Amino acid sequence: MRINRLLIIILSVSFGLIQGLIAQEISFSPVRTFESDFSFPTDICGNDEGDIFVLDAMNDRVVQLKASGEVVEIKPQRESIYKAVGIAWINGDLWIADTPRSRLLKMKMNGRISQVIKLEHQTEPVDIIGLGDNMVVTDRFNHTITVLDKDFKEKYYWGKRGEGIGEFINPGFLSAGPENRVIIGDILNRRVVSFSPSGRYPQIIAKPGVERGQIFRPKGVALDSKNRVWVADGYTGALQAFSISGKFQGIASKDGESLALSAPMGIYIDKQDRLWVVESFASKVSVWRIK
Amino acid sequence: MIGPFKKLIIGFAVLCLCSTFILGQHNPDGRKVSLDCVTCHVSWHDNIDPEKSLLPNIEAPIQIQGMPARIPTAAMCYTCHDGTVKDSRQTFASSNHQMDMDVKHVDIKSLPLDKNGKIYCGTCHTPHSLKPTRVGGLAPFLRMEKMSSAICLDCHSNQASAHKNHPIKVKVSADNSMPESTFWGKDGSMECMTCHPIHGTESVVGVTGNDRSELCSSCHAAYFNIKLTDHDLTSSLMNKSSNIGPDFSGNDPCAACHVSHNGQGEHMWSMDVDAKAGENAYCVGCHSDTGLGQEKNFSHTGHPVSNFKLRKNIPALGIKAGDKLLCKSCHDPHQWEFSNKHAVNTGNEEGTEYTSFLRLPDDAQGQLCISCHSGQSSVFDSDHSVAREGFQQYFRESNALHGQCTVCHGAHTDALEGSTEDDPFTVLCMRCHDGQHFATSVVHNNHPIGVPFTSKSNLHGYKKDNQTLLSCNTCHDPHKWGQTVENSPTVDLNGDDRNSFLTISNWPEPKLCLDCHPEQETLLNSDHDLTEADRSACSFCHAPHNAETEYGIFAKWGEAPGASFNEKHCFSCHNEQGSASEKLVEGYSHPREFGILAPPARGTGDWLDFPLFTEAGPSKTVGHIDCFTCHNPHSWSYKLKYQELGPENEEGNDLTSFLRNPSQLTLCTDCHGESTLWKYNYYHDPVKRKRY
Repeated sequence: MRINRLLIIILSVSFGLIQGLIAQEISFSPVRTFESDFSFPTDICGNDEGDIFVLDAMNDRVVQLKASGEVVEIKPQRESIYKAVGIAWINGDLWIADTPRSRLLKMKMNGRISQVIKLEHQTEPVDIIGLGDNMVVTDRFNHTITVLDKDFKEKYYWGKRGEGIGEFINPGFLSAGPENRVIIGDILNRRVVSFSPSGRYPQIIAKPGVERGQIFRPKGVALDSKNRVWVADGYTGALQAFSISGKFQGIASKDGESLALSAPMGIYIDKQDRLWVVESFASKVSVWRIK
Repeated sequence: MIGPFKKLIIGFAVLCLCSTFILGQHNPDGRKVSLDCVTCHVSWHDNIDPEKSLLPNIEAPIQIQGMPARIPTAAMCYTCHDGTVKDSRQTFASSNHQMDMDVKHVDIKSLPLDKNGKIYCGTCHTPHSLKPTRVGGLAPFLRMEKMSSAICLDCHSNQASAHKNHPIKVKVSADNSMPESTFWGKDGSMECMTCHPIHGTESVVGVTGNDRSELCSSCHAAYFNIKLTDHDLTSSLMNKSSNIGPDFSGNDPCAACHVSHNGQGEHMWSMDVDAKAGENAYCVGCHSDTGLGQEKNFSHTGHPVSNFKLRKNIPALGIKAGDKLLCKSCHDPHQWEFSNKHAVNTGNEEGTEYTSFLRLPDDAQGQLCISCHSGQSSVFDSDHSVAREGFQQYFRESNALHGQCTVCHGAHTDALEGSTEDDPFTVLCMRCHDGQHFATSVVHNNHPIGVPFTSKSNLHGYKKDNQTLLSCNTCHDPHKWGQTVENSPTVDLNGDDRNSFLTISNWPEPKLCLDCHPEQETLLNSDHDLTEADRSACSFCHAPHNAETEYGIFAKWGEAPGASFNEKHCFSCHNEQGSASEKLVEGYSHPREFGILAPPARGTGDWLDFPLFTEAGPSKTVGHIDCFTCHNPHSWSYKLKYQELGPENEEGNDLTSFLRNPSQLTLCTDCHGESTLWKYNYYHDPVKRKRY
């Protein structure tokens, strides 16, 4: 009797695992590609008006891809950004994670830096998101997640360097998930994890590996209209979707072939469920419609 | 009891679990590796289902020293170095030492290439290398040592050989202007990465493009003074095409002549050069009949080069004893004007003694020439100095300017170019001493020149037909005013036997004259030795320049009595007011209406046995008797044994008395027969003359 029960458990686990690894393809169709003389761009975000902003930091600029189709260069004040990595549209403002200088910058559309948030603890911000009145910042130096209050003061942080649950090795890009959960690409732990806004109740969304349904270098993360968590793999070039509970949903494919983008980094999904992805190594932005 | 079916189910389940959790990762040797390893060695993941694998297709494993390495590609490196973990985007973004470079032509000894045989991050870097060996060790994770350029030379060994490449491992002056971020080797020496900052935050200044010279000038600032001079070929030859290698079209003056690597010759020479032609080939390559610098064609008629070695160190010119004299000994091809480092010239501008790419100017101190010819510096204080008013006036009038030395000497041209004369020294001296210019004229009745001579001291002259003929330089050294009065400064002084630029001092003993006329030494200490404080025994009677007569170059006798130049010359002393008033000659004139055949014409001896004269001077054929017919004023006696001199003003006799010959050799008896003695006494003995 006990053996039968054990068998059932083992079978369930085994088949569950196997099932999770079975390929599921989600068809993507290309919309367009922007190159705009990018030089190793890293991140992308959008606003409610449908404008897209690409952080083209090696050119010390932001490129605005307007909903109208117009491409506008936003040249920040001289040397105000330097090798920044992350960009986010938060509560109507454009924010930049000025990584090596331990700063967050609020930038106007004319390039003027209207606010500079100096971060403590040598924090090197990789990406930021807005979460209610708070801002959440990933830190490549301390391997932590820092939450700033509405006055941009450090409210609390969680994590440390390590492989355990709740620990990070180079937390990277962020996204806000359902119920204000914070979805984080834990780059060198090769996993995607979500946390409650307070940093508790971790949930592994994507586990390490190089097969479908696994992640090797998690970079950009974003939620589509079906609450699927899309994760860009910076090495395999794959775009894969997972449920918030960690179930593999499928891999972006085109004509039956999995996409293998060129070092994808930041991704953004607009209201039309189009996935914008920064292909950093190829210095371009490609736009895909999720069918 | 567990049935067979159940065993099968359990076994399958255990296998599934093991495949996921137990087996882990292994390297190609079968050794179990940690998760850290597969962070990069992605292919070491075990049991990757090919159907589900997302790995890029890496067919050919990368080789390291012949062994498969399965090293990730550059794309793997970028997954961390994209700014999210570490930031090397600048490295990827810059074109410095490009990846994907085809290196098939390079002999790479031990560094790995990617699957396509091209370089990639892992060619030079590995995360497994030792830690940096010094504080701020600069770019760790290298496969080979950076400090010694070893990692560069593994591929670029052909760009490190001496002479044709810029040297490495050399100490660089601390006053260089290289950026602070510049990489220096041990003790501040230069290494490959000093100029080639492989992953510098800035592009490699000066290594590519048209601004390479800016890089050169960081350490070779002095050489950059070449800019905009005629040696800046990108300026002077901008519109000229050339098939000799360098590109003159850019703004890169160094690169026109030098290439940092793989030059055509030494000095990293960019142009074709005949290396066997020696060091001067680099200059003559252009300054030849057909070269780029043909307007300034090198002439072999000037100062000699190459064929002799210098005997001493000359720090001012950077010359060491034993060095050959070369073009560059005097010229610094990188600097047009010594005193103005940034001076430029304009399109074949004619140089001066202060410009012309000279290392030192030939100024009033003759700095350049004196560096070697220090013995000639005495000329600066003499009337031969260009600083003297005579020269200065000449320069003002002619609107010309010359250096101290080049006023007479042509460094690259024959100073006497155009002259048809055989005697270059006379031509040169007479440019000034011609009676028309500022210097003392020596145009009349001079000591003969152009004649063969025999000199005890091997005095100089000029060569013709294998003979040394007498010239100005036989007696004069124009660089030394005085030999006995040490280099006395002169200002338009009239010279005397103590100075006058004489090659040998002529006072108190007339050594210069006696060097060629030793037979006249018998004059010394005789009653005819009239040596004075500034005048030698010879000069009292003879003037080598501007004499009264061409024959004998007799000194001027003023208002002395006498019918002939001989008499005037002798009576200038032998008169009642003269210095020889005690030896007056009262009856002396031999009748002149009768012509007398000279011994050579008579076939009876040499002219000097009985020299005859006419009004025009000495005659070898027919003449009349004059003072010097009987007297040799240089010798008290014609017989050696009577040469020994007695007391001053000793009365002579027929064996002495400066008589030339014994009477038996004279012509007197030919005409006068037995009356010869009587007539002789009549003419020469006042007492006897009175008797008659």
